[in-house]
Amino acid sequence: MGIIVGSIIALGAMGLTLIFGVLGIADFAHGDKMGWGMFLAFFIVSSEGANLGFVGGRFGSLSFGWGLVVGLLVAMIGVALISVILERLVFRRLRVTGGGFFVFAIASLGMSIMLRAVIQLIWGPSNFRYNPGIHPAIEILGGIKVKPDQFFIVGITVLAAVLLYWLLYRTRFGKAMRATSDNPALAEASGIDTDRIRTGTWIIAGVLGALAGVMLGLQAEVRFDAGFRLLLPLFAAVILGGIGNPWGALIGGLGVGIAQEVSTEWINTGLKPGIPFVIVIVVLLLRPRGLFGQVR
Amino acid sequence: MSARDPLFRVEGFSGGYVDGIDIIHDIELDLYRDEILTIIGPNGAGKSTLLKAIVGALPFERGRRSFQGEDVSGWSTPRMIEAGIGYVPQVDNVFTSLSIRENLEMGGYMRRSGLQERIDEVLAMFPDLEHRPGERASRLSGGQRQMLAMARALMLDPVMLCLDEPTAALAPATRGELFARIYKIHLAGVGILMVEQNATEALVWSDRGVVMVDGEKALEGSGTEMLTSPEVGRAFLGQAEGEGFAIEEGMTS
Repeated sequence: MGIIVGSIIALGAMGLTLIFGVLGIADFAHGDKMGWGMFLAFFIVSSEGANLGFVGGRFGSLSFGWGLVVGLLVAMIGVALISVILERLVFRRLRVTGGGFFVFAIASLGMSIMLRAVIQLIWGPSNFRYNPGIHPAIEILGGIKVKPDQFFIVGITVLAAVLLYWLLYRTRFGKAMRATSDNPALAEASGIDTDRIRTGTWIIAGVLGALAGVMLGLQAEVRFDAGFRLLLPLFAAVILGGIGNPWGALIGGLGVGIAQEVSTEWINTGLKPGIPFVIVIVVLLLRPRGLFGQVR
Repeated sequence: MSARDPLFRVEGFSGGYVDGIDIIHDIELDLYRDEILTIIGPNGAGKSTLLKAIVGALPFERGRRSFQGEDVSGWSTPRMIEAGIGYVPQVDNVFTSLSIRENLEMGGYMRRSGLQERIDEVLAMFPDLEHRPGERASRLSGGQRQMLAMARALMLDPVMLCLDEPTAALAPATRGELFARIYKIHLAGVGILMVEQNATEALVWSDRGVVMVDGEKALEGSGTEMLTSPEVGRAFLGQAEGEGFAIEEGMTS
């Protein structure tokens, strides 16, 4: 269970840490962008989407079919678009007028509230499910029960991490992203179009956020504030792994997810949401640069 | 353009970081392709500012700068770099979290072709870097980082290289090695314009020197003239009254 939740946190945290590393923005709206991804996919798989011609059906023992695949694509495109529009409308202007770290953070907090409010305005405060009904778990090694959907969630996370690695370390664009993150002035002087890099970073983080949102919807409930509620674990994962480090975010995400779930062996389940706080405090006290953060 | 036409020319040039507050005033300067020109002067004299102005990194400028006969006034740094001017800032001049090879790839970001071939050529010029292209720049020593910064700037085959205090914070032995490397790059046909605090050593390797004081060009002469001038010696080379300058053994080019 911890691995499933950890995978979702990791997906979200990889995008969040990328934005932090390349753009220097602590994006408090990332959780609500996940929320948008979750609801855009819900729009496609729900009756409204069905009216548009996307039929249901199921893949084998998974709880979903082509509807969710199309929903996932729509979510990725939609959240990437939202991110790029907000960059152009807000962050780019703030950058030109000399806005710093805190201005960006507060602006993103405003976006968070706005994005969440619009979801609530359209879909209301109720809980939804992508595919209502009972989806039985299957037993694997050692009597552990896992739902087929959960294999899918972990698989998507692994795939996203591998693709992100390939992008950042094997492509010209990815290397330019890392260069911009490292030293924006030198990157610009080298002829790297840093505006394009920033836009690209928002798109990649948006796609990862949408993936995280849809996986969260698949695992739990589709609810207007579900993404926002995951924001703290996301930041905990980013800090645990070392701010700006995607591999750190992956490991950090899994770590936070597993710690949250395992903690219920000893503490009341109601206290579980406090675990990310504890992790953040302990990491900041003992190893402020995180597990994999580098000293520059 | 004949051989003795200047590679780069600055005419009546003033500018600074804030509109209306000039740091450099009315500078006239020529750089020829077959020379190493060193700018020396006390702290705050505007040496680095002049170098930034030349590569188009100064926000406010007046006057004219021309490169290979073309008016390049107002050109941005990427445009200047693409045109054939390499620039190595004094600090933060490499991507520390990237490998040596990736740093060179970024240096050659604007290349349309032959990137890998050029990386191999440039690496061959720096034996220290050549045998470990996968090493992260953050793990390099100060001298090696400067080498990497220069290697990076050479990726676009520049005809002119601007170096801002390349030997600052380096041990004396490393300084000599770095100057020798700069000289070798120069021999390959690159005009060198550098700003240096280690004035004596730099002038030994230079064809010409310029002294800047308070944002203005105070003196200009050949490297030897500079080294033997009592005025320059007292003011900038740390020599006592009446003391001449003797070129140290092994330092001559």
